[in-house]
Amino acid sequence: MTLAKRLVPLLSLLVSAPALAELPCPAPEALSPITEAQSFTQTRILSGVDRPLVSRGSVLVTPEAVEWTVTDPVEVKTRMAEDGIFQSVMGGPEEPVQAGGAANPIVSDSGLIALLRGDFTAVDTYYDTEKSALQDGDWQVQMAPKSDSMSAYVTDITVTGCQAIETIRLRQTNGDEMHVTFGTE
Amino acid sequence: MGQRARAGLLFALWLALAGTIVAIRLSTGAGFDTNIRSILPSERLSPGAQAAVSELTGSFADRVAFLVRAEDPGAAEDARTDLNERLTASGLFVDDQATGEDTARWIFANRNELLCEERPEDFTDETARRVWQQALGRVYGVGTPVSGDLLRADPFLLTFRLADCLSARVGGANTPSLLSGRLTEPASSLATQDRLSVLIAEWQAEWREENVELARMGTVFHAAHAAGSARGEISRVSGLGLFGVIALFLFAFRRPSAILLVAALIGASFLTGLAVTLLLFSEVHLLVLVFAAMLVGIVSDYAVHALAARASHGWPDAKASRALIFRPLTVSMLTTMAGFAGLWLLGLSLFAQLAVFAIAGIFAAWALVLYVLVPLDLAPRASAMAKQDWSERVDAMARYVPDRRLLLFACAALLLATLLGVLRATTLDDVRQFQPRDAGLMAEEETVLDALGAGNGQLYLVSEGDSLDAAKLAEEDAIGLLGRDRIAGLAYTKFDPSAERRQVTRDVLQTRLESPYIAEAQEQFGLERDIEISISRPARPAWLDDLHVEAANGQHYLIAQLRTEPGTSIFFSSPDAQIVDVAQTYSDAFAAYRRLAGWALGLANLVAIFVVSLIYRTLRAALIVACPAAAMLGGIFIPSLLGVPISFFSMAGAMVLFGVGIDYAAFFYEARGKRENWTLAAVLISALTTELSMGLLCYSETFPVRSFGLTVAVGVLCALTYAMLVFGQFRSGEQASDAGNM
Repeated sequence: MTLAKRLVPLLSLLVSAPALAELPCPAPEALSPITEAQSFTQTRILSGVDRPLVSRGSVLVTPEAVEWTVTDPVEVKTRMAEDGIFQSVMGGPEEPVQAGGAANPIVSDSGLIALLRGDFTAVDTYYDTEKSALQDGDWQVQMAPKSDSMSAYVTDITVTGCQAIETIRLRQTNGDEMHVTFGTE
Repeated sequence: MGQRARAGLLFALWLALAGTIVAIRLSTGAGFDTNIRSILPSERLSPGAQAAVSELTGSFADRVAFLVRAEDPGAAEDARTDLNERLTASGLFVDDQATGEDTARWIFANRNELLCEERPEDFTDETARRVWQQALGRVYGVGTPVSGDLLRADPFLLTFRLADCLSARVGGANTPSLLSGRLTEPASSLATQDRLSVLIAEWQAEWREENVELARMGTVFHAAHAAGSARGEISRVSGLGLFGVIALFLFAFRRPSAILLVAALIGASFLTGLAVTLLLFSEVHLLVLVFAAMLVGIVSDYAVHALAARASHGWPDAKASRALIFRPLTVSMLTTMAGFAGLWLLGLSLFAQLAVFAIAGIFAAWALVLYVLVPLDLAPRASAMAKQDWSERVDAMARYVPDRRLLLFACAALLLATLLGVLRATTLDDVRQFQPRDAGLMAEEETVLDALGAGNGQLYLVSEGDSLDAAKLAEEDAIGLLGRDRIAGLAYTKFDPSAERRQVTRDVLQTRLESPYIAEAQEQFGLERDIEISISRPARPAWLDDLHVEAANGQHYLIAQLRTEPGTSIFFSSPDAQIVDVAQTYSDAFAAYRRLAGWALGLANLVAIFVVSLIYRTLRAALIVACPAAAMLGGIFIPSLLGVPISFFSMAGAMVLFGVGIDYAAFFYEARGKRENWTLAAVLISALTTELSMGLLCYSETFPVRSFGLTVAVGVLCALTYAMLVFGQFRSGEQASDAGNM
């Protein structure tokens, strides 16, 4: 399975329809992706760096690709598709992301794209998952990577949500963390 | 102790002595030189450079790449992983990506002294701006593995940029279904080829149901295919030849023991030649062993002559038997040995080795036939009846011998054909045409190359200097002239530049990137100002060391594979760097050896004429050498009429003709005036044996084998025909049994 296929289903889950918000939380596997753009806030907490690096933007999931667009503090458009990952910075030309992306197991072996597409079935391929219910009724899925190549970089990924994925927290083995919160803006 | 026991003991001691010498020499550093260019008299490269290029190109020859494809990309990835695990577990293969971490550490440690750009001046202000933007994109974009430690040490994320542009081809990092690496055993080894073939066949069987396809690239696969074809072909041809020789010996001598004796003597003579050569030389060149094929013909000539003489005289005792054959065998031995000894005068190690090998081997053949074969050749139980049978067979053979007129016609035809062959002769030394590569493998190779984005070819840039840094400067200058696009894969200085280039790069990065953007980066990412991060310089990645060699003379050489476009040439001139076309250097070597072998044969013939003139004190005896000389010309040139070009392997075949041709002529010359016809029978059997054992190789589909076989096949016919006519071995009137008397 290509890295794009692996990451995209998760994103779809992240952006499930707000219209379903009043209904009881369905099981994560029952979420269906939607195609409307969804805003997010990404926070990177890097060890040894004084302050978190916060970026904001929107994500759009289509059958062909996941488009992850950061608008603040700089404009960065990242397109994850069947043919690879491409990035355009500050209106510049779209360029393939190589060693910093596709060859990076955090992307290629993580199942993040599958997660983005809401495909928890694919997620099971890459992670040992543990599902639980939170006090407010939301669900939480904690995922520990199965592969050695992935576990060398990633300690675990925690996804929470109800009608849609609301947060993703990725903890790396070097102590760095990345938090993504959806629908906050 | 009886004669037979003494002969058996002598043979055992002989074998033990020769075998011990070979074993001791091989275990104390002597060996075989398989590099056909290593002892060339004149090369553009110095001996040190030749050795360096051989070593460096050898490391390229040991590289392999696989592309695993399937309709289901997941299946392709799983199959690739399985293939990698099997290859790695076999110990035969090291995955390039296994050194990926070393490469990443190296790039990180050297990030401020490396550039993606070909020249430092190509790193412009605009480039610097884009680098800064890319760093922002990586930090704020999704999925980029930016760590805090990395960002503090490398705020412009030059490591990622360099990894993208420099190491994209290290292990096919961006093509998940591509697997590349190097073999831990030489690709030229048959054992390596066999193990790899079996492993891949098992893997293919496992994944066949998933419709997984494999494309392979590597010298080892072509070598395995060629070896498989050659083995199959040689088994068929040799099997047919062996069957023919056995049938011939059974027909002639009616005793299987004769076959075993001759085979044992061939082996012993070969072992003796090798032992003596190893005593005098630290290495025996592989081509000496190729030329040494002539021993097969000579030993079988001597042995058949002895067997025929004994049969014709009712298997007399050993002393009487030796008396029958001592003179013809000795004349033949001395003449042939003298001819080969003349090769020493060429002053080339290869031919000096061949001279020693041939002299020792021929002497062994002579001694072993006289003092081992003769006593060990058992007389049949009913020897009188056996002798009668033998005589009838000899008479039968004599009846089919052509008369003088027919021989004259045949000789004229062969001489004319030789002359026409001279006029139409062409040569072939291009190793690329010796054996066309398998089309299927070539197609697979193209597929892998497409995926790698690399070029193929046997063209290398070799840069040298009296220090590593001087060699680096030479390579940087050469790449500057050629353009980095010409580099098909990796180049040493892309990853480890010269001190001078490092300094320039540091200055450029400082001026165009650090100074304008560092404050902004620190502010944007929240980094401390003026932090000091100490980085220990990691070891150079192993694959990078494979591109460098220090020769015994202290010179340093760097190699980079060049991209070649069909139909284009690269014009390049540099005092410290040159383009080496490996295939062309091999072709040049074969051409040089072809010419040298021609001179060697001419010299051998001159020396042989001098020796026979000394022995017989008459110029007529020079015909003993003239006949094989004409036969050699026939063997070399007549195939040209069939469109077969002359090659080095024609010369190897001619070397066989020199040996056996002298035997035929000397035996006939010695038989003159004697009322016997067994010499003719013996020579006919010998000639047929040579045709069956070596001449049949003319049916090979592999050019070198076919060229050798055709030369021998045609040349033996010429040698026999010329010698029969010149020495009167033809049917005269109805008295076939009188043929041969002169």
